[in-house]
Amino acid sequence: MIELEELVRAELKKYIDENDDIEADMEAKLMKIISDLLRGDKPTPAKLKGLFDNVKVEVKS
Amino acid sequence: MTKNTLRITGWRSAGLRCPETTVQLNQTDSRITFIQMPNGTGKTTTYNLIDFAFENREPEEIPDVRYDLTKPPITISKWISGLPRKFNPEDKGMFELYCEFDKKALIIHLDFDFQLNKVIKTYTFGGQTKFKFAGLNTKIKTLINSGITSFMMLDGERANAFLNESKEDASHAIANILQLDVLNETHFYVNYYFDEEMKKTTKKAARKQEVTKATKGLQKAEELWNKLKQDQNEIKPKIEAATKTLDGLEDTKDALGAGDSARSTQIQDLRDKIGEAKTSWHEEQNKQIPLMCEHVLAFNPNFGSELQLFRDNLEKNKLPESAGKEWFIELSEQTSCVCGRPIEATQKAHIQTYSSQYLSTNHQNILNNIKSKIREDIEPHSGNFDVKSDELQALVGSSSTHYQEMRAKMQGLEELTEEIAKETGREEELASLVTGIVQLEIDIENLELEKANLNGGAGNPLSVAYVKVQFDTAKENLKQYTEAYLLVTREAKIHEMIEAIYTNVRTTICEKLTEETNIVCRDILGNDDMEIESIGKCLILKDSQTKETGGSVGQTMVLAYSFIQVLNEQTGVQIPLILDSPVGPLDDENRKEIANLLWGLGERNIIIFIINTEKQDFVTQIQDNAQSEGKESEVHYITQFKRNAKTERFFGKGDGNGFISYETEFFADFSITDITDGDV
Repeated sequence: MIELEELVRAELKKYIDENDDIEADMEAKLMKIISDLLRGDKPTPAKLKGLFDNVKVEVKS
Repeated sequence: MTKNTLRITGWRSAGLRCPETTVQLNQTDSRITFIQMPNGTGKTTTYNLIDFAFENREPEEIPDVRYDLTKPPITISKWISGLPRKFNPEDKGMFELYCEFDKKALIIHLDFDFQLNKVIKTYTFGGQTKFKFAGLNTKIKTLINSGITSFMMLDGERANAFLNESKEDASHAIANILQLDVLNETHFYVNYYFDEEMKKTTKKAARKQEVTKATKGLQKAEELWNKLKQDQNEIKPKIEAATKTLDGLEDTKDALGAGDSARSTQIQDLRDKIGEAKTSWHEEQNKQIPLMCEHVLAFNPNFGSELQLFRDNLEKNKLPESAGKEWFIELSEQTSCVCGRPIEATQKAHIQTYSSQYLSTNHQNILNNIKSKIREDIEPHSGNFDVKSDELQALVGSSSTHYQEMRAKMQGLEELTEEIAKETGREEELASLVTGIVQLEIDIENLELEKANLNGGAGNPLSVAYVKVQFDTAKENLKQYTEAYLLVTREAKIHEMIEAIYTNVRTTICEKLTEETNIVCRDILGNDDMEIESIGKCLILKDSQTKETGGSVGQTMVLAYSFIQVLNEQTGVQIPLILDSPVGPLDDENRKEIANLLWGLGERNIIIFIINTEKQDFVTQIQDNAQSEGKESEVHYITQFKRNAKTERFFGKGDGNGFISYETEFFADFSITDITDGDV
């Protein structure tokens, strides 16, 4: 049986492993949203607060 | 992943072209339900109403084009206008679809207004009051949406659509049943999150260039600020040094006696005296000159007597030519002229030459004329030469004395002039010094002004404080731009990540579904004539020949059912399957295979609309399967049609225009295929 959540989690982990600019805890953060959506729950603004802050972005002038 | 269940438990209609009946499906033990309806009694209308009810949007949100799959697209309003039953006095109609969602009652209401050709769509869930469909419960939405509908409601057209790239039905079915769209929905929340974060920044730097520009702006402001701070530090020593230099110059100026008015007056007096002496001397000279001119003949005391002698000699011209020549030779041998000036050798040569020429020519008259002229000029004065000479001598003597006096005076003046020249040099030096002092004072004034500006408040654009404010502002701008840029870049990276995950997950899913679908299809057909290579927008057939022909109708249906069965198995989602005349165009063997396949789908709540002629080899095959497994009770048979003049002949009149029978025997015996062509 195809389990979307597990597939997404595996691909997300793989992507994060291959991309240094995404920090490891992004997996848990994004999966929280995806899990909520899969259950039919919309992520509230409160749940979104602080998410995605830890994507490393290098700014050079 | 959600494992929600959806079952259809019945429906009811009124005022529409379909039978005005309440259809009740067995809620607990229904595996397959056949609904037999003759052509022309509202079978497709009922099918389309169920389809429309499962759309998870308000009608206003649905594009005003609806597809009756057997006909060209029509608008919703046009579709609604074709729904009312004949002789409907109220211009109203209703359709209610009864379902169970996770074993809770879900009713979808469609209320039609045929005057306006509008429909109001609402739902009730768990016995609650009606809600607008736009606010459909999020959980319910996971199974009730247009993507799932195309998966639930299958007929020949939709089976073909799975192979049609322009329809993308297969792709949508996968995305919906597996909730792949959740990943796409994630983009929305990412957008929302970053939009909210972006609101906190005052700058909207979407591009790196803006950050670069702000960085350069900050660098410039910082450079200027540092320079002004340096200027501010350096200006005090500069002013001190200039002041010191100024003091030195002032001292020098004082030492040179600047401002000594007595000395200046003395110099001026000397100048005046020199001027007066020069004037007096010139005036004296001017007086002497006319006197000298008046006694021109007495300049030389010998001049008159010499001229007299000259005239006498001319008188000798009466002598022979040789005597004249001799005289001229004598004359030419003189060392000086009568006026006392020396006679040079060249002049002597000329006298000799011209005297010879003269004596050899006849110019006696000229000579006589000269003599006469001299006589006229000299004679009147000849007696006064000595007197005049004495007068002139006295005058010259007087003039000479005067000259000596003047000369002595002039010597004194020259000494004064030298003294004045010295004073003048000192004055020039002093003037240059004063100029330097003035310039230095201007410089100091400018430095003081610059200092005042540099130390000025933040309102002064030339002050350090002002530039500091600019620097701080630029710094803040850069911070804001950087924050905005970071947000935009982060957002892009997250979208990119979600996109990549979506693509990879979908690829994995499609590979799995492709493999499983081919296994099922091969089992049903007994060969590999109908296999898919991959799943893109649609199911992509494997064999190049099959790709061109698309396979037979039967093969296509088998493939579609195989695909649906695999989706069902692989997802575990329990949703109904509603089929409209699924085997009408198929031959006997394919009918049996489809029957076996549908029976093999298990407890799927399958509702199959058929006409009388589809019973053979299809309904009978399912009956055989059920019988062989002892599950006859899981198959239900409903016969439904509209009452009209033709059917009344056989079934008599009743309440409303609908007729429904749940009898298996009635179902089996019912032989009306089409009430429109009298085939009863």
